[in-house]
Amino acid sequence: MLVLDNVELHRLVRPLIYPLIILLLPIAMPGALVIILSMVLGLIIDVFNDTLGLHASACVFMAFCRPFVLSIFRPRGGYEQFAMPSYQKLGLSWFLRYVGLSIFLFNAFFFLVEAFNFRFIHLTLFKIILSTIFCLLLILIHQMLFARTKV
Amino acid sequence: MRELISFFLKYNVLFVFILCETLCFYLLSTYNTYHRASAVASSNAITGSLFKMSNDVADYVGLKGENETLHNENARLRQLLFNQNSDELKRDTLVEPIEVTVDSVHLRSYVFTAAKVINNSTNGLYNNITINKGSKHGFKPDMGLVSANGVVGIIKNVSTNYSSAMSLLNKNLKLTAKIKQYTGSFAWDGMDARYAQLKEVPNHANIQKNDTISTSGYSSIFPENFMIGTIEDFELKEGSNFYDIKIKLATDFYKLRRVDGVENLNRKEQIELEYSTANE
Repeated sequence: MLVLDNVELHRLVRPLIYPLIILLLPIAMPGALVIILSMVLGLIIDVFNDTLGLHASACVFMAFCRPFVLSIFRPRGGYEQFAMPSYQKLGLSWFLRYVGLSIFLFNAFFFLVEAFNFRFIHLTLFKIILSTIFCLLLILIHQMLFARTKV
Repeated sequence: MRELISFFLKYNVLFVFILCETLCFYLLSTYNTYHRASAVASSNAITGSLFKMSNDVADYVGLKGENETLHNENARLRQLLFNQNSDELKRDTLVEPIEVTVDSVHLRSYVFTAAKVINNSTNGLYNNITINKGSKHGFKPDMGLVSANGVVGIIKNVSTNYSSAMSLLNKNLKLTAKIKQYTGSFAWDGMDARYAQLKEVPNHANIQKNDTISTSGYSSIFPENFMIGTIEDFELKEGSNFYDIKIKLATDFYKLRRVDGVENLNRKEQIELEYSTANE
């Protein structure tokens, strides 16, 4: 977190990795609990960033959307045999689609709330798309480096 | 009653979502409007000490550049010191010395206190800076924050050991700035951490690229003639009475390490006087 805050590749790109924590929660976890946990996480991030409520609201939104995203990309056999959403178990393409859409929703919400108007909508859209791509890349690298291969 | 409870249980996810989101937006809106409670700002003890730890590491990396800045500032101050009393020297030097007002009232009206930046962001729309000095060291809200090169921000929130300040790179920050004798209003558009905008400079002002933009001294926070930046580019839209000026900020916010808190000793008196005049 502290390192990534100081990384600014471009003024349109904001690299974030902590939403992954929410995305990697067990699939069977009740939705309300996921939402509350993500709000707590978002608030912790907010306290460090002096942006109270901004990260938290985006996290809550993403956590709320998580069941829908999961059901869109439901594999043929359902999720019964998978406890955790990991890319080793469910495949790289599934993981990419799942994380990609979630991060896109997160970024869309985040930048729209941050700007809080539609005046610079093209700039905001640009930020959303570029940041999503970059976050996805970062999460992928993180997963390949640190994820345990045998779960 | 039982039906109501079962209704809530059925849609519990939705209700929790709405509840959390409402809470977040409530926090967001109060946070932007009023001065925040220091318990949840980045100036509190826990986050402050964490930032300090991560900063100690970063300090070593920046030492070389830091030395250079301090060296340059020393040279500038020495020049100022020697030029102050000798008019002869003034005429000889090519670089025009900065004017020092010697007025018994203004003689010691600003106090500078050194501090270190322990958290700083440049990529949001509302950027803030946390520094390692707080009320224990005499820091107060609405004090100015400057670096060796120019204006940095305004302190908004103070705890015992840390303060958080609104950076110039914050869309909520408003500042009066001047070019020569003309004043305009300074604002940041949220785009680039190197540039800011100056508006409301009348179109009859004779301005050129690289002209210095400095503080106006109206706000009672910063001393007059303190460097903000230089003109990078300007344009006069057709039919407009005011210039749109792009400022190159003097402070490099990417490398911000050492700052000074500026306290105006006459500020309280000035505010009280202005307040009583406004209420007459």
